[in-house]
Amino acid sequence: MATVEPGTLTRLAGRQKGARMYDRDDSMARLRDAERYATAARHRSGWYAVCLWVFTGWQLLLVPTVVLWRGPIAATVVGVLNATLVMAISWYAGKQSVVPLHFTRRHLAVVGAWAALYVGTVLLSATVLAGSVPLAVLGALACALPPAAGALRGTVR
Amino acid sequence: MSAVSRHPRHELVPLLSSPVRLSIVAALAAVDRAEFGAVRDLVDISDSVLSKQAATLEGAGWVAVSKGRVGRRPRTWLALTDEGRSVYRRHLAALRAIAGL
Repeated sequence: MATVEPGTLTRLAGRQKGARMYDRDDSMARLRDAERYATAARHRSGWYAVCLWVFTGWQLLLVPTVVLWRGPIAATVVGVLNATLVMAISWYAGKQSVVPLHFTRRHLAVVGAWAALYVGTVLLSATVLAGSVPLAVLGALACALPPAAGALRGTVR
Repeated sequence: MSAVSRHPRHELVPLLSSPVRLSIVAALAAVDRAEFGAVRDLVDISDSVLSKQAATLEGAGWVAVSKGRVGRRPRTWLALTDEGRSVYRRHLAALRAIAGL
């Protein structure tokens, strides 16, 4: 029959407990590190939310102007300002070194929803609701919604 | 068949046992892709260390390395592949299980 020296089992149990503690502490430390690096990376990709907030603010100016200010001069001024803003945002986006998670999908969803709402507002203002102040207000809020939702989705986790 | 469940330690991914590699993967998992220099700064390592570790992760099929150009400036982008994301999730799940979270 095999014999076990006194104290051997206690020593083994203690070693195992120590190993478990090491496992747990080490795992916690690695999880904390991983979260720290993930947070830092997400922070570096926050530029897209900034762009979307700028675009959201722009909608509150652009849409009422398009609805209420009519004529060729208005179309030219709004077109130039809009193109300038979009080019500035694109230039800024092109310089960034970290691309946010699900960027393409998110961007297409934001741009698609915004384009549909913007075209709908412009069509209404050009046909049945020409010069309508309520349309200008509601249209501005509706067009600001997709970029604002996209920006919030990127910042709230 | 044994009814005893395996310790979650066995689910850990050996290649991610290196803290530097885990940090690189953790940073990349939070974004679509990142420029080489950005990852180097985030993880706070040298170019050569990142280059070596990125090559190891690329060899495993977990990181995709692509080169591009913005104006005249060449850029190298790093991104986690779908397999890399899946492996990382499995590794995190094992770490959480060990930590009792």
